[in-house]
Amino acid sequence: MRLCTLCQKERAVLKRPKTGQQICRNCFYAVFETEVHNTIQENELFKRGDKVAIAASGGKDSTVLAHVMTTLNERYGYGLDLFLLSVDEGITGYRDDSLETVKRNEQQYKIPLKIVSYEELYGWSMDAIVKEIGMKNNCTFCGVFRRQALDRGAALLQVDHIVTGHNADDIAETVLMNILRGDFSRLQRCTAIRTATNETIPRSKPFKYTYEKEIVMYAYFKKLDYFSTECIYSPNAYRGYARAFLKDLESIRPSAIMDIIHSGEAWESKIEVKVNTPVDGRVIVGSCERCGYMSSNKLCKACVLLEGLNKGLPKLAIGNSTKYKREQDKRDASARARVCDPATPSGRSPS
Amino acid sequence: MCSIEEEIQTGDAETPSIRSRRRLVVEGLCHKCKQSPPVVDMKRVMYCKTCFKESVVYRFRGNLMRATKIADGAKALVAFSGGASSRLLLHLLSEFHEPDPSNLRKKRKFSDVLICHVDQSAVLGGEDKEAEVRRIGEKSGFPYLHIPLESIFSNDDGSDGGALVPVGFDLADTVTLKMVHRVTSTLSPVARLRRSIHGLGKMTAKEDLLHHFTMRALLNTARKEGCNVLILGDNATRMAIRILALTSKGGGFGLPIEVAGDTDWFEGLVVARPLRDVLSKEVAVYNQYTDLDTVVMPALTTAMPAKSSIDRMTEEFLVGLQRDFPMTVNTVVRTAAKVTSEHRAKTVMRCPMCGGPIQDGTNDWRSGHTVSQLLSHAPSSDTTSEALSSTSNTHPCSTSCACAPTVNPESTSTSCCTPADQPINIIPYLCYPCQNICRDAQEFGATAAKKGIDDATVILPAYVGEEITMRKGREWMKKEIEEFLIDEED
Amino acid sequence: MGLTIHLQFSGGMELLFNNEKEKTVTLPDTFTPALATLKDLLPWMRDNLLSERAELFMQGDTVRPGILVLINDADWELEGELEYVLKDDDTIVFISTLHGG
Repeated sequence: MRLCTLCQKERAVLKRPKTGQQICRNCFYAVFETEVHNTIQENELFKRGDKVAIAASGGKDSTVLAHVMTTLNERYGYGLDLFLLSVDEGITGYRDDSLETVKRNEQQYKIPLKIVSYEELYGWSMDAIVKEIGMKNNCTFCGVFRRQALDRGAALLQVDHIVTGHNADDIAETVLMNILRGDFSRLQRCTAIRTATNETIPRSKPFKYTYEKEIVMYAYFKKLDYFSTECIYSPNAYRGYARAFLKDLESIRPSAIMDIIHSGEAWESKIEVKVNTPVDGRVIVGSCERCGYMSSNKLCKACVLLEGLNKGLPKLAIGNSTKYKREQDKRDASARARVCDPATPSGRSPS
Repeated sequence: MCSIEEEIQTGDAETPSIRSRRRLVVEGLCHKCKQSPPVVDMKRVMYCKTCFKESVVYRFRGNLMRATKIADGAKALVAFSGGASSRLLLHLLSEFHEPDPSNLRKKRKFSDVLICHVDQSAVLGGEDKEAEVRRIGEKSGFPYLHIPLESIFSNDDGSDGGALVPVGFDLADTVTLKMVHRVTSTLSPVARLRRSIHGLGKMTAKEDLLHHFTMRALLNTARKEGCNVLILGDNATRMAIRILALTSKGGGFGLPIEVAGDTDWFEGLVVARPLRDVLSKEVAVYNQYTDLDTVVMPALTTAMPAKSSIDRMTEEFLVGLQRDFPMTVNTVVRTAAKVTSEHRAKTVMRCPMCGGPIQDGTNDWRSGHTVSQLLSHAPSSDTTSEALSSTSNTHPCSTSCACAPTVNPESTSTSCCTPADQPINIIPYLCYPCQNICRDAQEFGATAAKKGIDDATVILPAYVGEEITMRKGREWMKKEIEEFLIDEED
Repeated sequence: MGLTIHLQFSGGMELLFNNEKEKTVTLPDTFTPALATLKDLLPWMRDNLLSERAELFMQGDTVRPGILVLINDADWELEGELEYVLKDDDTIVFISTLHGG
């Protein structure tokens, strides 16, 4: 029998992905939870009495996050008021099933659940969007819509903070992606644990340093109930390269994921990125003139996408595809200046 | 969880239609001169032979002329491995150094140029190729210096500086590497070099240490020869690989030094990389068109599977991606060139192993986010070190020590009996990526020790130990006088 | 008489081909002049000339990324890559730009 490297008492039952140490179940829970606690403490993510929404998809990351947040809140007396917040994108066979998981979590952890759907917020479900625009670019819609949906749900719940289940693998992968596609401004902020501007509700990632494999392991040993299907519309080829590369790196040196995050943190912009332009020393927060959501342009990104969808020109706001701009010109000359402005994505490498 | 939070942009910029529209293209002719048929396709721009060569020369000269940190009339040391990039570097530099026939009074950028070849054959083999490297180097007309890599184990005057050797390994302990400085003459410099590389176990660590040693040998030589500039042949593809690999090894903090076209980080020396925007494909094509002969030297992972090391894996990944997205290398290099870190801050120390900057708070960061010991029931470090000294049986004053009677009496420079030579855990004194190297060594050494192989363990050159001792001394001094120092902010 | 092709190897490629830097080959009659392409030549080279592991030379039906091909001194990307139709007396150069070659 091999003894646990950490306690030297119990039988080692697993090889810890992050360190390769052979440890027992209880020591695994202990190091896993301690690291999350350290992350929360070191970054002063919450204040006593904060209302915190856990973005819950029903997948492994958010299910384990809900469990760990509940556990740590009790153990260390954070004094947080926790909520589960789910977004229903309207993807048959994926989200409807995973929402059942979230509903069970509500019972298990006795945390109130709020579900907001694309259908009610935007009048379009993802299934309907995919039917309209096909598989290419649908993640653009989903990403923009989800971001707003979470904010709106959080506003309805009147929470002070949103936590998401993004893990160390996600962050390391994003660092690599941003280098490969030359997105310098995102590279400077993608490792930040907290994203906040004056207007949006702060978001943070308590699993920033938590390995995906360990999240799965934790759920497995704790027998947590989660939904494990990948989004049926998801795969993005380019991100796939970065993901495969990261997995290979991890197999060569298990600390590689942490090492990449460490690198990324060294480049973090120390200056808070100003989303809003200061006028006379005061920051004037722009808001979308259609929906009121924070936006530096006249229309927020979601409303631009929606306008395209509703006009039957869904690709309007995705790239700066001249063809679609030209068609738009023809149909609606007056709306052009207003709509095309925000359409230039920042994610492009200057050629 | 879906990690797509923002819009995604894939390689739209790569499409040929967008790129070619930017240039006035005459179908079937060179995109630049529009006269001769093209023979090279670079990122979908087509050049004829003459225009292609001109463009490489133009970028090389431009990079050197823009390198403001290089003073006019500087004395330059050129690193020459014999490989394709450094061969091209040598060729371009000898053209660059030639007096301008139309203006003979015009001053040259460099007063002198020396070639330095660091001979890695003690580790990599290929001794038979050294003569060929020398022949090519000497053909250039510049003075040729042959520096065996093992020279880093000697003092500047060539005398034996001893080495840092480990004192026992514990399999449970992956966070310490206790070493002690020994003046020993039992191992030849070549044997020490081999043990330091092969005692690491993992290819990633071996490649990194070999790189650091080579840089050290080049910097030492440059200083010894009174040079002001060290010119390296890193090309764009190699830089992009290095950027991704270094990022993956936790070296983001020092990255700005590694990608700079010219940097004065290395005290008293500027390190320049004038080929930093020439692709490895362009190097190969240029050499082919100009009949530049090269020497193929095996690397540590030559012909090994992609997963044998992080650098090797990264090369495979990036070169493959470059084929599908021809802007990849340039994008990576350009992005990394914008990256900044606080490596210039006053508090930043230099790593005794690689000479790179050490980020503040590295040790806390690692222990806080990767908990590898439990406080309540940790195998306390005291018992571990006791166990170490009792089992390893290598009291500081055993046979190989200077104060032991059997060893040569002339090496009395440093004796391990002074308190400064107590075993010291070197890991906390290193920069983050070098800590990773030593953790590999620790792991490998522990496994080897368990199997009863004790000559497989890593040893390090004496300078690593000396620099740690010096730093410890300075830290102690600073602590002693701290209350008497006036803070500038006050 | 079949097609005659001059092959050259450098940058480490020669290590995969018996350490020969140059080799002139006469292709068998299965290579029909005016029809046979580089796509046919690569597997033939792999099966008849290669002395080291095939994956160091080819990936799928083309050369491994990082190996540069010049056809009569011109970048093969300008010559149609695999679709290039072999001509008698062609010179084809293979150069490795890889470290881990």
